[in-house]
Amino acid sequence: MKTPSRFTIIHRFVAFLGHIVRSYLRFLLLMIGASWGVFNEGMLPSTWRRPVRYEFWRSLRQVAGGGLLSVIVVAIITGFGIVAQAVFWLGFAGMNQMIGSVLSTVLVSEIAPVLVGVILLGRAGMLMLAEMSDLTMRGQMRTLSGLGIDPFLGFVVPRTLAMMLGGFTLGTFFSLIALAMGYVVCWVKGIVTVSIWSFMFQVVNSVHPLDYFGIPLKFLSSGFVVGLCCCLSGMDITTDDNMATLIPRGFSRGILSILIINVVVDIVLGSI
Amino acid sequence: MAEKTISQQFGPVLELIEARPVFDESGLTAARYNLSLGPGECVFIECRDETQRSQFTDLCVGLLPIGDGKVKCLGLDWQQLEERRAWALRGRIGRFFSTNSLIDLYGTHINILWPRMHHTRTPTKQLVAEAVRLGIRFGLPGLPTQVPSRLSVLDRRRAEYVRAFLGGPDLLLLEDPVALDPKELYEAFLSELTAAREKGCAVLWLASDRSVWRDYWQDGMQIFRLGDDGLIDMRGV
Amino acid sequence: MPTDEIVNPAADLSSKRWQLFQLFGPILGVILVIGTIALVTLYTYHTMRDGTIVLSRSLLRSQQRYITQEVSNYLSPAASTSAIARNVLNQADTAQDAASFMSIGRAILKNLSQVDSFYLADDTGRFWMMSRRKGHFEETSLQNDASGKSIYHYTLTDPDGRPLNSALFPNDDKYDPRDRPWYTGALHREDLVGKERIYWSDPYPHSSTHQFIITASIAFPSLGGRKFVFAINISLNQLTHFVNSLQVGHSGQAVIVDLDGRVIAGHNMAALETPGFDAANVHLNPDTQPVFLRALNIFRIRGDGAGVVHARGKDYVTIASAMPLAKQSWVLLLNAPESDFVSFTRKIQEQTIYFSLLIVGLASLLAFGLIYQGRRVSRLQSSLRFVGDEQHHENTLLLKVANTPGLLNPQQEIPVLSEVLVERSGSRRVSLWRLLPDNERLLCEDMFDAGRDAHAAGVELHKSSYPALFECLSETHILDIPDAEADERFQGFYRLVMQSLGSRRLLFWSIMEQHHPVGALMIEDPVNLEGIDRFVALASAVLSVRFTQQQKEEGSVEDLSLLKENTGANSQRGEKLRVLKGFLVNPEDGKKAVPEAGLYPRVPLMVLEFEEAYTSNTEVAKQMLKLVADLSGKIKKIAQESGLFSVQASGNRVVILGSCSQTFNTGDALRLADAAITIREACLAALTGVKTRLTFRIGLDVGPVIAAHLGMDPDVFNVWGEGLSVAELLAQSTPDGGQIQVSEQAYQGLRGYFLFRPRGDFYLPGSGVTRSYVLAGRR
Repeated sequence: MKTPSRFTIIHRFVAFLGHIVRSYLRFLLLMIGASWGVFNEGMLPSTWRRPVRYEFWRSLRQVAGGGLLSVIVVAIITGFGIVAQAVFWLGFAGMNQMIGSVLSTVLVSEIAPVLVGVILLGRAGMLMLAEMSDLTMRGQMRTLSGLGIDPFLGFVVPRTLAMMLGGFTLGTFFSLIALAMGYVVCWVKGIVTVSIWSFMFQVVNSVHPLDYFGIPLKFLSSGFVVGLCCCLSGMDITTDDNMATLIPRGFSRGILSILIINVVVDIVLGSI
Repeated sequence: MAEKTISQQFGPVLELIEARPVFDESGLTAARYNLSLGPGECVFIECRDETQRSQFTDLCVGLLPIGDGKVKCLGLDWQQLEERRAWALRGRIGRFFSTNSLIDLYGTHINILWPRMHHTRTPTKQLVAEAVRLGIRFGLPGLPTQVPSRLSVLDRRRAEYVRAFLGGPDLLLLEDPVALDPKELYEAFLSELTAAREKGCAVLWLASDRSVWRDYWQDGMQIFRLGDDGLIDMRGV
Repeated sequence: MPTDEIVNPAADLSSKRWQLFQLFGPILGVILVIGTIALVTLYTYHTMRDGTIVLSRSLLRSQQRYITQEVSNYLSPAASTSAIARNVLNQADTAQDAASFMSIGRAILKNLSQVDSFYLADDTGRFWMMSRRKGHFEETSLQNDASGKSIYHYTLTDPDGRPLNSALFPNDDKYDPRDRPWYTGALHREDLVGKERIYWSDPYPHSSTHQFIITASIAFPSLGGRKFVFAINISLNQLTHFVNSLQVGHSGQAVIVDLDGRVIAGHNMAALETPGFDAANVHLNPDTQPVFLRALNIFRIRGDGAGVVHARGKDYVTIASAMPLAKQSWVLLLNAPESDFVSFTRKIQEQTIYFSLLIVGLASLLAFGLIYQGRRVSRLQSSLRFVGDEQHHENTLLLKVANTPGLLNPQQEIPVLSEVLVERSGSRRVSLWRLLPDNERLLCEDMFDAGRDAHAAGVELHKSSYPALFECLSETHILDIPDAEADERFQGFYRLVMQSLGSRRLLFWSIMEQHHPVGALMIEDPVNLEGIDRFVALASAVLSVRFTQQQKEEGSVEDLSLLKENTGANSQRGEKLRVLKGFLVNPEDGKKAVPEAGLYPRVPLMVLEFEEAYTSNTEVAKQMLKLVADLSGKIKKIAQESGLFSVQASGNRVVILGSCSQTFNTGDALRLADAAITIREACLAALTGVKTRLTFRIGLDVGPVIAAHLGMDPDVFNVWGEGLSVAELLAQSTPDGGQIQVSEQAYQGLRGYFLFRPRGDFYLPGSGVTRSYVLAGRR
């Protein structure tokens, strides 16, 4: 009596594990394929028809305009927090003048892409996910297909690219504001006595030349994966799905995507 | 000029030749479907099941995979058509859906103009003017700009008519498009339908109840019944 | 179907790609060819250049060896003579030594032209010198005479040593050879061995002979225990001549300098023989000899070796080597412009470029030929396809005509014929004219306007008005009139029919039945005339059958005369014309002041529209009439009771004006809305009692109208304008029958007093987004 039940438990566990692995692998492949599709379609001039342009601008407005305030607030808080930490630890090590370079490496190239990605995910990505899944569940995606409007062209391409551009915009804002905030805090505390331009020069000098490519790439790719992940999660649903299962799944996938893409960019650029 | 000829060919606008859809336990049975619809022709298909109706129209626009046989639209086989061309070909078909097909992300006017703006470069102004004309024809005082869910059921249907008829489609696939009541809408619909057919548009009219087309039926029009046993010719019955 | 599709499903995308490839493939090919040639040329140029530079260096090196050898030969008398002198001048007697010195000197001077003179001195200050003087030899000795006074003793001899002349001079300037550098220098090196013993002086100019001299001296002991210093003076003038005469490459140069850049021999010394030339102080000139200077600088750092120096915009190959022969500090510098050696590769390169250009030209020619041919083929293909499509199109049109039911039945109208003709000819308008049986009139049976997509009919042309046109009916061939206005036969027709459309060109085709004209076919502004005659022939055949039959059916001439009489009578009867006003409530009635004609900006008005199922049943019609009479009475009564301005019926519409004044009065609008509700109730009540499908709808607006008095005596009061059209549109587009739709303007005035249901926002071109409401009832 005992052995079969143990087997059942093991069986169930393995099945669960397999299910998770398979579903994530499947989604990964889906993401890779769709990324290629988005770039491929985005290159073609015939993709940018009026409704696609309309959707692109609408999404961009929503992503960049809607997320701006959150990004400003978060940037101020982060700038403040990181500077406080950095000042403490650097003071510990007696390297207070390193503050600029520490800020630039830690804040701009590591924290900003992730935080901006998370803000994008929360502000716009979840909305996208809900909209797309709503359309899919109500069969309206199929309706659009029936009208000859490819949902990939009509929604996924413009929204993903808008997210990408929005990620870059918000990321730049975030970095600038956080750095400025950092400077202000340091200046008030008397740690930094140079002018803001010298401070910025110090920051700029401490950034590796490759990072001028890598940081924007991180912003762009964070936005891109969030957009794509949310669109695909919204469209890739089964009859068993509902909002209660979709939203958490989409969120976890989104977070995972952001972290993975940042790590991947780090590894790829670090190996160059 | 060369583009125009395609719609003016002798051949049927829609053709199902021994088409057998892949059976997936719901909707259409895997029978062999045969249908031929010439330009300006109107075919009635009686079908009580809503899923079957929508799946049959999906079959006609190449969205439902078929095991064997052929489904051709304007002489082009869906299965052999490149994807981009297939999407464009679907753009030449006017659709009326039995389920709510206007999406709430945009205003109704965008919903109406969307397919035309997506498939053509026709100036927006021209499209709007045509849409307004059609809208007035169907009893709208203009082009509704609110989101569809704010409109009444009847106005939504009017908007869907405008979308289906806009741009002079080559083929109209109508799923339960009309009810006898209100009469003016019914008549406006029939008159626009006739006008479209005059211009060579083929019509596939699926309905659950044959009373809706009783007034419109003329000798020689094909009538079918769609059921679990496939497409049954009802002429003479 | 629109032809402005972004992706045309009927067009194969791959063929487009193929077309693109056809265009860009050859161009790409040519670019590839050019690129390859350029790369290969660059590569060969570089390898050849490197090769020639290596070659030129080795050339220079051998030249350098040669020069070194020559210079060493030039300076070799110094070593050899020193050795001889050392061995010969070791006799006990100084006088004997002096004699030997003189004879050796003479012998050498006689044979070696570069040797200028010899010195011999001993440590007691005695001095002997052997030198040339104008083809003879001068022997000089400085000795103390008996009185201890130092005296020069000159003897001039011929080449064989026979004395010619001699003289004595006192040593007034106290010349002492022991102070001379050559003497002291030689003594310093006394302990060294071999060639090292020889002391070389810095070159110095000899003022009297204009020779640039270098002195080599050696010290050795004589048998008598004294020290002799033997010196040989070598003139460098000839070295300069030699160096200058060398051919280095094509235009290269050589120079010998010391490490400080002082020139020993070379072009700088060309002026050596001119008086006043300071030969000891000639340096490399940085302005004119930058190459040598840089080569020297490089030598100072790197030592011997070859290099490439860039100066004056040219590359120079240089070689610098230390001359180990005379003084350690001498450096031989050679340079030659790289182009001297590479020039032939340049030439080859140029030839290669010309050759490549030729190839590229040929390749481009080929490519363009290919493109041209490809374009031609595709053009041909498309024209073939076009012809096929045309044929297809034509067949489709023919089929369309042939499939028209009742084609030959004159009772049945066949609009398809003119439509097809318009489509086939691409014209703006096609009209079909039938000659009426009296042969006096042409009646337009059908006229299809392509621009408006509309049919018209009924225009009549009288023979009396257009005689020339009627004459054309007997023409059997097609008449092509490029400008109908200019053609006198068709001038009248142009003014009557064509001018309004703005067409100019006219195709006229008479329709014959057994050689009698029965009608005409006219095409305005045709575009596509290719093969149109076939089509026209078909159409005219069909039309001739129809027209003939029609003519027969219309029967005899009597009917026509009857018609004539009637029309004549009609015009003669002169019955008083009744102007139909159509007013149920006339604004001109009674006490109301007749408003002035003009624009009224805000007038409340409503349109009541009836829609009925038409019937041909007499009984039903009677019933209907009764209902209408009943309703109109009720409406009139309501209007009068509400004090409305006017009620005007026209067709199935009733236009009701609440007021007609320049100032807007809310009360008028309220009265109107109230009346609308009352009318609706009355109508509903009336309609429910009767079994009919009559429905009505009401549109209500407050807007601008134009009022006018039309005609005279009595004039008719009439209104039109935006307000009326809006009200009409609202009436037509009520969501359902029996409802009152109200515009936003009217709603603004009425909302406080009535209940409304919003219908939504609507866009209309020209007026933008407006809102419309359904009037539900009173509050």
